[in-house]
Amino acid sequence: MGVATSHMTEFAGTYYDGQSSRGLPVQVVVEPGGLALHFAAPEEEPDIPPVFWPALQIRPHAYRERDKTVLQFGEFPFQSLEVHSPTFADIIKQAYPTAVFHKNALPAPKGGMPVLLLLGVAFLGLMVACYVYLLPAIADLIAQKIPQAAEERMGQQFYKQFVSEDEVDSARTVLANQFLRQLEVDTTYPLHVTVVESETVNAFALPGGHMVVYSGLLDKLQSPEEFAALLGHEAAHIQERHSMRSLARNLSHYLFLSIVFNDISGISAVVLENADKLKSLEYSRNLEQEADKLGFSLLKANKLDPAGMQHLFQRLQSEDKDTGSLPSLLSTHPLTDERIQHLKELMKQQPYATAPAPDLEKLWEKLEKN
Amino acid sequence: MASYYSSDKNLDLEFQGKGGQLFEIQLANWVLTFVTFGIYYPWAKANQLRYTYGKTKLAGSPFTFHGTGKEMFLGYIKALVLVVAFYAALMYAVFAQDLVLVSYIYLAAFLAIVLLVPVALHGRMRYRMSRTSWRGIHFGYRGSLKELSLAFYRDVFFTIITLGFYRAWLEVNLRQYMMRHLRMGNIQFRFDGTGGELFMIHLKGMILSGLTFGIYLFWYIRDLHLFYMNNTLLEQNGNLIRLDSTVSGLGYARLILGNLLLVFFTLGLGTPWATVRSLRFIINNTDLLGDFNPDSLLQTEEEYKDAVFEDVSDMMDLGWV
Repeated sequence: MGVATSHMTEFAGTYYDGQSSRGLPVQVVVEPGGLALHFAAPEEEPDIPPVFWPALQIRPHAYRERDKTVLQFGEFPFQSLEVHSPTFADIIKQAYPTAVFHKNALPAPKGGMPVLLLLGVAFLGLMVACYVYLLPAIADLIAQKIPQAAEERMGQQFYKQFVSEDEVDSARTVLANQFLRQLEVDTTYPLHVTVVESETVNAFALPGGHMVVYSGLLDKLQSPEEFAALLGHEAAHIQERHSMRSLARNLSHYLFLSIVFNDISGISAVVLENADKLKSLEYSRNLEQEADKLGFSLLKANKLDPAGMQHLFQRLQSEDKDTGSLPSLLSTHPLTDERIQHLKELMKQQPYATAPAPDLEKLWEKLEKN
Repeated sequence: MASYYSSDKNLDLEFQGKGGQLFEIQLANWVLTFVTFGIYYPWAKANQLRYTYGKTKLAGSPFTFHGTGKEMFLGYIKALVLVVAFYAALMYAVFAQDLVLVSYIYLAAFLAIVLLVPVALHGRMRYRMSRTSWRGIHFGYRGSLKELSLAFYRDVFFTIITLGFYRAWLEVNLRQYMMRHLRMGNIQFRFDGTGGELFMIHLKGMILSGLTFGIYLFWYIRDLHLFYMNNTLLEQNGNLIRLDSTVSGLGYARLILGNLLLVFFTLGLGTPWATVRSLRFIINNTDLLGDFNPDSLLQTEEEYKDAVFEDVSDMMDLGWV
């Protein structure tokens, strides 16, 4: 390739010298090694000597759009050249194939192509997929990596704050903990139950080992098996770090959305709100089912009648019907029938012989009387 | 006032961008920002600004944005460090259930923001203006950080002790200071609005918006727009040139509601079209009123290289100044 030396390639352009906003008409000559700019002789002013721009020092600085090419040259303040020609851009590209300005010259956006829209929709789909699948997985991973000691410390703080606001039934708390000790629980956490005086039919687990049972729920229970099932369920939430995992998930979702919507300042409110939500944290259906499964394992390990769990579910369900308010144990799962169904399947898959547990019975009697 | 403008010659400001073109640029930006976990953001921003500036024309010639992602990257990282530090501290305090610490962190963040506002504004003006040119003539901001900061801190103090009433004056003082030190080559800028006028606009806007269940908001926005635009003057070789904007409340209603629908129903993919609609609405409804001579601007600014606060101002959401 190369430039034909026999006839020069010339273009008309407008030159800005970087000192003034006045554009000067120029003849642009594509010479080997660079562009020569010849100024049209002005009538009253003295002639302006031609300018030579070595191709290797030319920088692109504006859009090439349709027929227009804008080139920039020199140190600050930059000189610039505007050429309107359908062929200019290609001709200088061929003439100076090694010049840098081709490499990062931005092409003029064409726009409006259906392919682009398709890509856009695909990208949107990808984002949604990330939000739905990838994000929870990452959040889970992070939550699992938090050291148990840190989790326990954190739970302890929450617990302290919590009991300072509520009335603890200390007699029943002692009994409930004795009951818990009698159970064989597969856990690495130091478990502890607190019975709180309240009408609320609820129980929840804090990260790190604390479980809280409201007297409103405890009064509804009729057998030690039911109480054991409840403790098993809550202990599973603790062992499987469901609080941390749910918190991490919620936070990651908010974080993702606020970054996408460029609303960084909105995050802090969310952080605070989530920390407060620990009490009424809603676990996903999968996490609830996991807790049910482990709760069943606890009953099995202690040879307790799994029907206790079924009764627990039914009590919560009837409570739901009585008051119309959702006990939070069930709030994400109005489908108690589904849970009972799941339990029945577990019972079928893992049948075991039950055995009497006199110690538990005794403790339960005391708990009921109190 | 009319005697200021020696002729009725109008020079158009024009925005000729197209939604489809901006979409092409933004799509690449989104994808790259996403796969680089946000690191590409400053480059994406440079791409977008290069396009929107290049499509904005005065007297037929486009503006040019010279900034690069590389220049803005450092500022982006610094801003990110600030934000991450704040959230790390907040998370720690929240999970430790230390409510006293939470309030201290908020207080510290509030103080840091107040302290940083003038720094961010100053840095952004310096950088953004130095990277903006028209026909090779660069804009420039020559304000002093010290003067701006002192005036700002003083006004924040007044705003606090007047329970917020002084806010209009705070905004106008900032605007006046920054405009007075803004140049486009040998053209100087000026802002003629007063705090009293802005206060009345706010007062009227809030009362009427309340009474009309928010419908008046569009007219309130229009009033603010006209206040900021039409009080902006350019002085060129002794001639005063005024920005003359002619947007209407109804126009704003159409713009905002249209953009909301456009973005909402496309799950955000329509944002570039919304951006183009906004820029068209603002820029194409603005003229230069007076004897503006497009050929007589002279280069006056020196080269400037510091983009540190470009993104700090972004994250602090300083769109209101």
